[in-house]
Parts: sequence; C-alpha cells; structure tokens
Amino acid sequence: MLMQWKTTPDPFINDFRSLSRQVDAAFRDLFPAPKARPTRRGFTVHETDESFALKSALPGLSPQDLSIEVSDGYLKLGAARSNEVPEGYRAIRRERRNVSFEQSIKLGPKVNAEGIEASFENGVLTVTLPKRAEQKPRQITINAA
Amino acid sequence: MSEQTAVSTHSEAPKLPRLTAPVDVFESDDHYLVRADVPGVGRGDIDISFHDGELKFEATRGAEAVYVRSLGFGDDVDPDAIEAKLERGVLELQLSKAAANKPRKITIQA
Repeated sequence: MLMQWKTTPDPFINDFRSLSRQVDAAFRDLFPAPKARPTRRGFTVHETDESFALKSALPGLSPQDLSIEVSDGYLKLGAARSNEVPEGYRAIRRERRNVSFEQSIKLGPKVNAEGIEASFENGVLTVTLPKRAEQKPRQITINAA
Repeated sequence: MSEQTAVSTHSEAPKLPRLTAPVDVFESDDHYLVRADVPGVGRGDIDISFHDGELKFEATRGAEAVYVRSLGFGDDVDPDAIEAKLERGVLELQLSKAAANKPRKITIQA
C-alpha cells in the first residue's frame, strides 16, 4: 500500500531553522512546562538603618495576584501566576515557569509590624519593614544629681 | 600582571551580569507571539532588533543585570510588522508572518 509521505515536511527542503523548530516543538510536547508547586521564593533582603526591604521578582503578576498579610508576628506572602496559551495560538516553546507560592516569614523584634508597606513595580515586589524606633541607637545622657 | 591591567582599563563601566530571559513562544496562522520575563526592567531600557530572521533583545534591569535573548524565525516573518509592549516585567512581541507563508486555501477550479 502506498503511504502519503508529503504530510511530513522534508527536512532537507525546509531550512534548518524550520527543522530545529519542529524538533523543539516535539520536545515541548514530550516535556511540557513544569507544573507549578508551592515553593520558597528567593527573596533578597536589603537592610538600612531605618528598615529592611524584601524584594522578589514576580514578572507578569498583577497586584491582585498577590496577597500580603501580617498576623501573629508573621508576614505571610502568597502569589499565583499561570501562563495560559493565548486564544487562537498554540505553544511552540514554554520556558516561563508558573508561579505559585505561599511563604511565612517570622518578624523579628526589630520590625515595626504596623509600618509594613508593599509596592509592586515592573514585576518586582518590594516589602518594606521599618525598624522600631527603639532599635535605633539612642544616646543616653546622665542626669546631673 | 600586564594582561590584568589591560582588561581593567578596557571595561570603563562595570560589566553587568548577562542573564538569559525565559520565553514562551506561541504561533497562530498569522502571527508569532513571544513573551519574555524581564522583571525590574522599565520601558526605556529595552533594545529590540530583527535581522536576517533573528529576533534579539537586551533589557537592562537598573544597575543589576541585563536580560538577553535571541530567537530564530527564518524568513517567514515580516520584519516591518513587529509590535512590542512591556507590562509588569513581561516583554511581549508580536511578529506577523509574511503574506506568502500564511496558509491559504486552494480551491479546485471547476
């Protein structure tokens, strides 16, 4: 019986890039993007005399995708992003990871929990934890008798 | 020793670490869509070029790092119809396929 061989493009006729794209696509099908699971985030911490700043790269998230809560001496952070295939498109390369995490950070005695603030700019979350006033060095004068 | 001196005088500005930006690439009948994670990068800090079927970008994250990437698309992309937008640390590029390469229906003449 005759097989129709035209359905698979001839790699020697197609240019090399087209071939490598097909190979990539085949691999992508075999090994789809890793499933998101809750993980600890890599936060960077900057300390100044006034505060600590926690920073984490969370590209593509909107502020609604983030939850930040302070309770019982813990800072609780949560975020989720899933990378959907846009309507009308098919995926030919998936490298961006889905984001899903929850993390609790114990606040030390230095932190003024009331003053914690968060900002989100260009996909980077910054949580600022101000230090308590009494943690700053304070000069004590001896009262003359 | 002399070699080290030569190297240090060569790089006047401190060299930023170059990071590979992770990308998703999607394809439709008419377009390719590229999404790249470039957290911390502002609108004015991205260079995008398309030459000989190769899409390239460099996105600078303050004084911390440069995200770089190049992707080959062959000759089925119209180089004059590439659109870019940057939102919340994600760079999105839409490439139009060249008209000749779009799938087209061929009807059998009666």
